[in-house]
Amino acid sequence: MDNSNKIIPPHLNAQVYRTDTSTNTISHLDYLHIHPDDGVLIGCSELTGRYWNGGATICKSIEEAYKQCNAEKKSISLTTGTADGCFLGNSTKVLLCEDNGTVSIWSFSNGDVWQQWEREAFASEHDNAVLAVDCLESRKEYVTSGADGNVKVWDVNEMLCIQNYIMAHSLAIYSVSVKPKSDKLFATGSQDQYVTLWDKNTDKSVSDLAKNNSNVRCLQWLDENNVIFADEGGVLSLIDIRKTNDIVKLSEFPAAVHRILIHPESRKVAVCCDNKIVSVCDITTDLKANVIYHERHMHNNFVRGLAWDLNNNKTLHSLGWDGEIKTHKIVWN
Amino acid sequence: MTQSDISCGLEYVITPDLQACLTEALHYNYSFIVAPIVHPRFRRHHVMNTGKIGGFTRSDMVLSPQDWTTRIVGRLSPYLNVDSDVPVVRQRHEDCLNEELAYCRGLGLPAIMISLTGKNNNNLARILQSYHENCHHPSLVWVQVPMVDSRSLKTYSETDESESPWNEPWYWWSKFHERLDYDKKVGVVLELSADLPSKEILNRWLGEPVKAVIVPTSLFHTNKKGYPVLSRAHQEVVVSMMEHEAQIVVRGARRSNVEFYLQYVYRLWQRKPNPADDPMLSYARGWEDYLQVPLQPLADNLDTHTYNVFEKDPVKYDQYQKAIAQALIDIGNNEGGLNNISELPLKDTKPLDLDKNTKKISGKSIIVMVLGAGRGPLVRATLNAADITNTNVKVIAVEKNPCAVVVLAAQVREIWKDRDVIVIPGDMRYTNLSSKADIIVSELLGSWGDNELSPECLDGAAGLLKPGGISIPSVYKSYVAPISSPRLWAAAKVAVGPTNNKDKNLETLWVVYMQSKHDIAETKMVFTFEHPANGKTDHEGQEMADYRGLPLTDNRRSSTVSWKVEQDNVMHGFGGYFDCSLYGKEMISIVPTTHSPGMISWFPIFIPIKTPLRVQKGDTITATFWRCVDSRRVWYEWIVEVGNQVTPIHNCNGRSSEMLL
Repeated sequence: MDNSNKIIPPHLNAQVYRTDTSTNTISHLDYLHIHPDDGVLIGCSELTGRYWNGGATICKSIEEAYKQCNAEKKSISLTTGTADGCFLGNSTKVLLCEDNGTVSIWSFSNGDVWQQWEREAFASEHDNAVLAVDCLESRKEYVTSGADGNVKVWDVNEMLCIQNYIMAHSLAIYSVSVKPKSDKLFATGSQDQYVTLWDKNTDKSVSDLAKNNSNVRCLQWLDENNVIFADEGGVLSLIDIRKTNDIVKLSEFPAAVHRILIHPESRKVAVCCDNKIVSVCDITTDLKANVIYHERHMHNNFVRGLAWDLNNNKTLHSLGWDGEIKTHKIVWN
Repeated sequence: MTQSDISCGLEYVITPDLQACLTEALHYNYSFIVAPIVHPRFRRHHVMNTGKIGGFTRSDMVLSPQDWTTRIVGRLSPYLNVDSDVPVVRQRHEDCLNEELAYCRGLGLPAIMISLTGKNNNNLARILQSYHENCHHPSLVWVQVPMVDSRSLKTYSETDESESPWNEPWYWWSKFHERLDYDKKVGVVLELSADLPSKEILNRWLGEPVKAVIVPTSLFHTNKKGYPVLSRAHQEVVVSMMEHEAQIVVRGARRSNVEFYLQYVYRLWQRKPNPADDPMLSYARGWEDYLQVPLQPLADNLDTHTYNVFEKDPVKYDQYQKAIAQALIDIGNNEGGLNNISELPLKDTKPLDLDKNTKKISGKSIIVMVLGAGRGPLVRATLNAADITNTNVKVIAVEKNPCAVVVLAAQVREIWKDRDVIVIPGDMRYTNLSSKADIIVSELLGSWGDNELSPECLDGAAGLLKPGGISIPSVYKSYVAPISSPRLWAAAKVAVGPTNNKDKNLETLWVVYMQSKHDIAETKMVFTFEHPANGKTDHEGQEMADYRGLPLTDNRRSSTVSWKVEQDNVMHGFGGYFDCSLYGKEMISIVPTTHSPGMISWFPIFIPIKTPLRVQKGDTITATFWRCVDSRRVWYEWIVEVGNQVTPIHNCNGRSSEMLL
C-alpha cells in the first residue's frame, strides 16, 4: 500500500548501494567431477559481484545437476571462491580448494535429522589461493598446488601436511597431475613456465620436464610416459618423460587453454579455453592431434569444467561461467 | 606515538567482502590493505561481451571514495605478462593491463602494485610510462620484486655460493627503473625471503626507493609466549628499511592473529634509535632527500631566520670556542718571547670584574677579528674563550650584512658594553684597519667546504692578520664518494631550482639530507685549502703579491680520484662532504666516518651526473673535479669515467651553476 519507504532519493543512490547486503549471487561454475557410483561435484564462484564467495553443489546424477546447478542454495557455501575440488573416495566426502588458501574436507551426514554437508576438517596453510588438487592414494593422500608457488601433500585423515614444497615454482602453480598407477610421482605446471616432476618421498623436485615460453595453464598424464600440457598462448604440447629434450607441439587454439581432460580409456583429450568452445582431439600414435569435435554455440561464456561420462562412453559434460551444464556426444571409431 | 602512527598494510589475497576486509584491517590498526582490483581467477577478453555476468569486477560503490583514495593499494592481476615471448599472449595481456590501469585511474588509488618476474620488462615500462602521461593525478606504482630469484637459487645452490640469485632481482628492478628514467612515481616493494643475502646486497637495496617491504607470515616463528616473532637478521632488515621510509606489508596465511603481526612490527619500530638521542635525527626529520640550492652568503645577505637556524648548532660553536681558547693560550704562552701581542691602550676605563684575577695581563689585549660575524655567535664564543683562559681580548666584528650589523651593534651597546667589542660594517675583502689581528675567526664553510667561497674571502682579508697570526679555521678539505640513488637523481632532474631545467639541474650541486642512497665506494678527499694561504710562486721561485702587498693566491684546483667497484650498481653522482681543522686538534666534520656528533649545521651535498652509469664489480670509477675561478665567479666542473664509458664535462664554463664573488 505505502511504498514511500521503498523510494530511495536519487542522491542517496551510492550510499544505499554501499549499505545494501541483500544480493548474493554465485554465477560462475568452475569445475565438474563425476563419481563412479552416484555423485556429481560442481564447484562455483562469484568473480565479479559484490561478494567474491563460492560454493559447491553435490548431486546424485548429471540429470539432477542440470536442475541444481543454478539453484541459489548450494550444498556447501564457502566464504571465498573455489578453483578445484574432488571426491575423497566415496561420494559423500569432498575436498575443496578455496581462494583464500584453505583446503577443506566436507562430508554428508546421512543418518542425522539435518541432512546436510558439514565441514569435517580444514587447513589454511597455503599463502594464496589453492588452484588444483589430485589424488595420490584414494582416501589417504592428496596433493594440492597454489598461487603461492607451493605444493603440499596432505594426509587427509589427519588433515596434516606431510610434504611441503615451499617455492616449488616461483609463481602460481595452475595444475597438478598424478602419474597413472603411481602413488608418489606427480607433475606440476606453473605460471613460471616450467613443467616439473616430483616424488612425494623426496624433498626436492625430480626434474624439470619442460621450460615453456608462456604460462603453463593445465596438464595431465596421457599414459605412464607422456604428459600433455597446454598454455597461455593456446598451445597443446606433449612431453615424453624419457626424452624431455623434444617437446611435441600437438595443436594450437585461438585462446589460452584453461583445462584439458583425457578420456580414461582412449587417447582423446577434451579441451576448453578462455572462450566458449569445447573441443576434443584425438592423439594419434604418430603424435598428431586431430580435432574430432568442435562446439562453439552451446555455452554463452567461458567454458571452465569438463567431465567424461562414466556410464555413457563417448559422452562429455561441460560447464562454464554462463552457469550452464552441457552434454556433448562425440563420435569416433 | 601509537601503533597507528606507523604505516603498516595487510594484504588480502582475496577480498570476498571488501568492506569487511577493510574494516577488519583498520580495526587491528593497519593503515591500508593491498587487494586485487579484479578477481585473480577472472579471465576475460578485453572486448568480449560478457552477457549476464556483468562488468569485469565488482562495483566500486561498495566503498566510500575516501577509502579508495587512502586505504587501498590495488594489485593488478598476477598472471598478466605483457613481455611474454609469445606475441598473442603479449597482446591479450596488454589489453587487459590497460583495462585494469584505466579502472585504477578512475578509482584514484594511492598506489598500484605490479610484479616483476623476470628481466624482460620493456613493454611494461612503456605501458606504465604512457599511463602516467595520461593521468592528472597518477597513482604511485609499487613494483614488487622478490629478494631472491628462487629459480636461479635452485640451479646455484648445489654448485657454489654465488650471489647471482640475489643480484638477479635487483637487476630486474634497476633496469626497469632505468627504462622509466628513474621516475619518482615508481618505487620498489621488496618481498623478504627466508634466507638473506650479504650485507652489501642489502645495503644496495637501501639506495633504491623502497616504498614497502613485504613480510610473509611464514618468516615468523612463535616465541615461548605464543607470539609471532622474526629472527634477529630479519628484524634488522625490517628496521633498516623502515628507517628509510619503507612501509610494511604483512602477507600470507594467517598463522597467528593478524593483530599480533602489527604489534610486533610496532615493537621493532620503537626499538629504532630515538631522535632525542641524536640532534641530527630530530633536526633533519622531514628534510630527508629534500633538495635545496646551496646558500650564497657572499652574493646574497642571509635573512634573520637563516641566522636563527644556524646559530642553534649545539656543537659547532662549542668547537670554535675550544679552538679560540687554545689559540689564546698558545699566544699567551709565547707572549714573553714574541711581540705578537698588541699594545693598544684599553678602551674602557671601567675595571672589569674579571680583572680581579691577578694572572690577567693588563694593558695588553689579544686582538681577535671575527670575519663575517653574523648576529654574533662567534663574538660570544670569543668572549667566553677569553673568560675561560683569563685573557684580555679585543674583538673586532666585521660584517657586510647591514641587517646583521644592526643586531651586532645593539648587542655591543646593550650586553657587551663592559667588553671590548667593535663592529666594523663592510666586506672583509675590502676592509682596511690600522690594527692587525692576532687571530681571525670565520665561519664561511659550505657543505662541500670551499663552496661558499671561504678561500676567496679569507685571502682577501689576509691583510687584516698580523704576520704569523692565527686563522681559525686553519685547514679545510672537501670529500666525495660515488653513490647510487635513483631517488635523489630523479628529484634533481625535476627540481624547481634556480634553473628549472633538467640539463642544468644535473650540473648543479644540491644540499640534501641524503637518506635513500647507497655508497658505491668509500669517501675520498678532493680539495684542500689552508689559511693563511701562501702566494703562488713565479718562475723565479718568489712568492707573488698583489697591489696591496697581499700574497697572490691561487684558489683554482683540480683533483682526480678513483675507486674500485666492489658490487654491480648504478652510479647517479657523488655525495660531497668536508672536514675542517679549526685550530690545534679541534675539528669539525660532516664526513660520514668522522662526523662531529650532534652537529646539525650542514647537510651533505649531492653532485649529480647527467646520465647514470652502470658499474660492475671490478670496474674502476675515475672522477676529475675542477674548481675554476674568473674575475667575478667561481664554479666547479666534473667528469666521470668507468671502463670505456665517459660522461660529458659537467657545468662547462659554469654554464649551469656558479658562485658569484
